[in-house]
Amino acid sequence: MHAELSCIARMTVHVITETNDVSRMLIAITLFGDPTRHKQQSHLSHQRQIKMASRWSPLTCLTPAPLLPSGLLILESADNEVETLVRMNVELRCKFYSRNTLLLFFVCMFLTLTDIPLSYTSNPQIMDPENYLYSRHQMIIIHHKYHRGCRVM
Amino acid sequence: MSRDVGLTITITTHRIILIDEDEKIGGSIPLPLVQTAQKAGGPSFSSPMGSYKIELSTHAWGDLTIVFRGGEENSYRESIKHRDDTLDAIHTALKRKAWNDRERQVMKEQLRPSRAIAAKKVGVDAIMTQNALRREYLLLYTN
Repeated sequence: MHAELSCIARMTVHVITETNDVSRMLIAITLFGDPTRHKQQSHLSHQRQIKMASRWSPLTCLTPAPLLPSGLLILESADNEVETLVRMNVELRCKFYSRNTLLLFFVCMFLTLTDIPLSYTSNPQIMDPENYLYSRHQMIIIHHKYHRGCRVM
Repeated sequence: MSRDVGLTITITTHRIILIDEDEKIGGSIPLPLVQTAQKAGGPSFSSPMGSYKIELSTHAWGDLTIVFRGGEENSYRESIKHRDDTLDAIHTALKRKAWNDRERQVMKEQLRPSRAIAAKKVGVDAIMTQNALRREYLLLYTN
């Protein structure tokens, strides 16, 4: 959860243009890595640091592991940490935050926080007042009407 | 699904560390935050050359998957060995809980009888009594 929040916190949302029509709204999301994440790698050139800071990947979201300028790992000798195994050519995958997921998250967040008119279209023939989905649909409309100040069309 | 490729994995008594040697970036997963580590992947009917994986369930990052590509030789046969060795190392470290060692040592030190007895004495007498009792304690419990 912490990593997820820290990743989200690194994001900056730029709203380029905004119209009342959601489909025509342009939202650009720029992902930035945390520049302090790479403070220890002072040997790297400034340009490379910028390149790394702008990189987003599962690896950059993990707890930073201090490395020597040569790329060797620094173990925590105070805790008597001992290396037990090293293997090469592995791949790290994470399931939860791809860029598309984050984009969707920010679009949803933007829609929730702004008073954009929402339009609901439903077929009256399939509206069954006793249907759970129908009552939920009505609840959403009421919620937006009275709590968000949205205009329901 | 986002991924990082060509990494080096290092298992220590305290952490799982992944290093991107080209970019010189390292990320670590502290073992106390690992809930479960289990085998995944491998050949199946639908994918006969399915990659060998370890699925980690963590408190901080949710589910992470480590895929083994068979070392520098990129050998499929090697990848199963690498996966199993790594999983064994993770399980051993999780079982040992080396990160609790310092706490355990402090607790042990506090519970030692020599401290309680020596606490009643002062000065050189206290030091000598404490040393004598510590020697006895070590002889008793190390053999």
